[in-house]
Amino acid sequence: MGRLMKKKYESGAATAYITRNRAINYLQISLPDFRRLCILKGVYPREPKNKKKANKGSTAPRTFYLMKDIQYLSHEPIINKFREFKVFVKKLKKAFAKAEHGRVETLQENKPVYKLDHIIKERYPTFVDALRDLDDCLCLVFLFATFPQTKNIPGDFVRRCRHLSVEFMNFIVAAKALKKVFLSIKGIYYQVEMQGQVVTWLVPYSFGFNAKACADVDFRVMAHFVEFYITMLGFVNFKLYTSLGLHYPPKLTFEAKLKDDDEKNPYCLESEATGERLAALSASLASVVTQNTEEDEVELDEFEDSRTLEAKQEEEKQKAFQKLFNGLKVFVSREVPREPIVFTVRSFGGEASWDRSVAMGATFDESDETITHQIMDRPKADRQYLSRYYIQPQWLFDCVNAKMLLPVEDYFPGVVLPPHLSPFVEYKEGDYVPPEKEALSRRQQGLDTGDAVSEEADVSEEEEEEEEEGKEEEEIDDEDDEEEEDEEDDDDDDDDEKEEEVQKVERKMPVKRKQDDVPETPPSNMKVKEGKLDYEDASSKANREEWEARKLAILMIPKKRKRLFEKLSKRERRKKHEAKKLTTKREEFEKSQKDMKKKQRLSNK
Amino acid sequence: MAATKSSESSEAPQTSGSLFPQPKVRGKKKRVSKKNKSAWRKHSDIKDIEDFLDDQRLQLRTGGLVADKADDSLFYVDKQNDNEDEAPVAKKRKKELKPLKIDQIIAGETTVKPVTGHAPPMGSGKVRRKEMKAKELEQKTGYISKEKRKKLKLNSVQAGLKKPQAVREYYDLWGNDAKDKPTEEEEDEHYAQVTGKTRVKVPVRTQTYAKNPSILPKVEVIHPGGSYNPTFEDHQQLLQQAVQSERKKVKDEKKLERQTRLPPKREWATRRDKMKELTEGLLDEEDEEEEEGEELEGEQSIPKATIRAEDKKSRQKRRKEKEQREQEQQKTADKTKKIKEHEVNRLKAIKKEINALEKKKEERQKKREEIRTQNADKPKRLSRHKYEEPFPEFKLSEELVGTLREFKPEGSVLKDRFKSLQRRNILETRVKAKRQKKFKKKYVEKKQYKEISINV
Repeated sequence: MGRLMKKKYESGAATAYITRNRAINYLQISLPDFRRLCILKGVYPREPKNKKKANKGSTAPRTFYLMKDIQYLSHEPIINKFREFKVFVKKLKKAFAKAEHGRVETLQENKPVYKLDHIIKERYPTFVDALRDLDDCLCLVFLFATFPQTKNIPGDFVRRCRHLSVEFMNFIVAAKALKKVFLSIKGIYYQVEMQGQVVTWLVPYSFGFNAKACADVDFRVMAHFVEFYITMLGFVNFKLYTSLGLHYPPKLTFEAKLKDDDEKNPYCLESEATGERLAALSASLASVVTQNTEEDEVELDEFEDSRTLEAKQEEEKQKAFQKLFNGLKVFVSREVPREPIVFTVRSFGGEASWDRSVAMGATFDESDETITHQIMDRPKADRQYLSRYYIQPQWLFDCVNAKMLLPVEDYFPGVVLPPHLSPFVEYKEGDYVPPEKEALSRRQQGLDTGDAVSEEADVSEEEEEEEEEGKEEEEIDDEDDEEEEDEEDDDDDDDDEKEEEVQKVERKMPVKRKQDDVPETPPSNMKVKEGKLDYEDASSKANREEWEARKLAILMIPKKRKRLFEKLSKRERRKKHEAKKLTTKREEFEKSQKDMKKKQRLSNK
Repeated sequence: MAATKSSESSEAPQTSGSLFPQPKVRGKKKRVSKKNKSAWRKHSDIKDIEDFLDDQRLQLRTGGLVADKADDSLFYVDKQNDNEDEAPVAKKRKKELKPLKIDQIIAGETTVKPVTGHAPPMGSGKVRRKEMKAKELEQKTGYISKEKRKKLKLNSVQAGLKKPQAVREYYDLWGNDAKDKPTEEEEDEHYAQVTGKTRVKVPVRTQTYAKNPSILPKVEVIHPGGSYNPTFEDHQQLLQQAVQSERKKVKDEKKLERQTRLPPKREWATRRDKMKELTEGLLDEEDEEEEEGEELEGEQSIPKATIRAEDKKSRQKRRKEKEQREQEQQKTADKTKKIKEHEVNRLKAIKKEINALEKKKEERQKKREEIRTQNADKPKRLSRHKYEEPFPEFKLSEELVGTLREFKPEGSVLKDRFKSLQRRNILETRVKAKRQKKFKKKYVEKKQYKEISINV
């Protein structure tokens, strides 16, 4: 009689989703195995649109998975391996209990192992896909490389992580792919660009393992992630190395090896020597093919087009950026964290070394007269060479982020450092831009040679009777002017640039001076300037006209859109207001700082 | 026949080869009767024959009959100088070459292979069938049977069954090696041929969600105030953020405290209140019972209505009722029909209604979409526990040292990664499972011990 009633929960969300416990029953594996499988295969829990329907009428919070995902998991051959492993453990336990040592041995020899190659290929069908997902991978691998090998970390994960991370860093050095470095309170952020993919990762500072700080982290889960990422990074490294024509596993160049053999090191076993040398990052890698000279690229047909010209200029800028530290010979003092510094210096074409007693792989000694910069983080050096700059480590990172060599005098030992700005912030219109950043961007554009803040600082320092800052400043200014000219010339001759840079460094040499020179009489700040005629500027006139036109355009906005426009402009105004607030705050702060200094000085006197 | 021979030979001297033959003592020949078989067996000497046969068997076991062998294999012309042989160095070498006695003992004598199992007679149906099958399989698929492999002394790698162990440890996962692999169709065909079944289809999974379960970036860079040497403003902003999250935390804590706080003392229950609560309903109970009793009595006093004959519905009445019902039904049906017919005239109004409905729907959809986009960067609810945002890392103004040497890092990268995975909906939020409490341990004093007291 009655219609056939459709039963509830037999279609739709109720069948499309499956709870975690039901999924485990479906796959017939244990919960830890299920977790591992999901991590390896990239299957994540889902939140159904309608939880009540998916949960068959119950509103209890549960973890859901897509039924399709679980069906897909059930075809994974690794599940069989999990089961085999379970059987293996049972057998092993039994053999142990019976004290059958021979059987234990044979069992352990035939321990079931699984490979993840097919999963990686499945999850990342192309190499670029893998590169896109490298952020997480690098973070975890670099992190695990710093851990002690404890029983919580299975296998030899730590050693493998360290191995892979060193290989990856060596590749970055060889490819000169580093773009940004940021020293944060958490760790060091690096950004690189490989095959058009931007990858950012975080490396902790090298301090001891703090178990308390990560007490509520599920270590087992993280280890599963690492297990997958180790395999992935292995394949990625191989591909990256082969793409550059380098040996994989990495080999040192012949000269580097020779040096290695000469240096009978007490640091490690002979078998570990190459690995340690690689980890030092100071030696270059051997390539499979004899390396062609750098400018062996296909010359493109020349088209006179504004866009191609722009692209060309951009490319040249990039090339110049990659050679930022070319010709620099940096010596790293022992109190400075070595790895990040050597990594950055070497990634931009510089050379780096350290004291032989610190670690192996040092390429030159402190007494080398050709050293241009010595990185130190102490208020004062014991012995000083006239031929080099002594600077604090921040200079290197700031140079990388500014994409240019910054004046060194802000970074001399004992000097209060300028702030280390984050290169990852993008300022929009109306945002508050700190004066340091503003000065930097002006300098980058070549508008300004010395920044406003430092000038102010100079003034105050002059008041404080510091030595011959003004003279120094002028010289630096000259140099920067030259740099400007260089940039203009860039369009014509790229090849000469390297030479020029080397020359520049040489030219810089005589400027260097000792810190503890006898102070001279300060040059007075008063000057007589030539008067100027007050013309009506053509540009200001154009500006005014533009402004009027804009006002008219605003008037012409239809009523329908007016509200939106007003909303937008209000938002903008608010932003500007906030920015202004911050600037005034800053000014006040600086003023108070100055007053403090003055008071201190007075009290000292 | 052989037996008679042996009996004769038994008389022959045994030490014929010796240099000094002993004079034969011709004793009295013992005469025994060999009239029946058992006596014959008992008294005939067959030792030499057995020795000979033993020797032959030994020869067979240790490399074949000496008599059948070619001379070259038995003898060789000794061209070596004996003096040379005596040289101490050569002697030493010889010693080295010679196997040790202990090895010789262990090595055993036989070269004959042990008998293994029972082989079915050659040419029997079972063997033939097996061979035929193997041959067929080999022609079809190139599979070489186990027996044949044994015969040809091929291992599984040489027979092409297994791939040789990984020679190249490193290979290009994304390279062109994939071209050599058979296509899926070919694989299917092969599978069908070998097993006689069709393969189970593996579901194809789109990787879109797997790649991006959240719109958040994989690595979120810390606020610029989190620089080890930040600008004043950035640092202030970061501190402001920290203050806000701290405020929220304090507020939540206060709320919880407020909700679980005890009421003020004057609202607490006094002794009298407690007594009252305990005796609730005890004192008034008697009265109520009385009342109830009365009620019950009252109910009982009302007599039940009797069914009278005239109350019964007559047939006529029933029919009329039915007719009336039918009429009413007809009426309502007519009315609905009429309304339906008249709806043609209402077309405009209906259109309007539909439009309004659709508009409402659209608006609702829009609203939902908006909410979804708003919450896109928030973690989803994936388990019983809500995701808790970690407290932002920051340094106080006095903690900022300004140099890398004196600087102390804040927070943990591992925790940061773990929380990031949870924030991006890759991991569900979990609380560490507490170990289930086993039963409380119970201590029992045994009688024997109880009886012994120290204070005696």
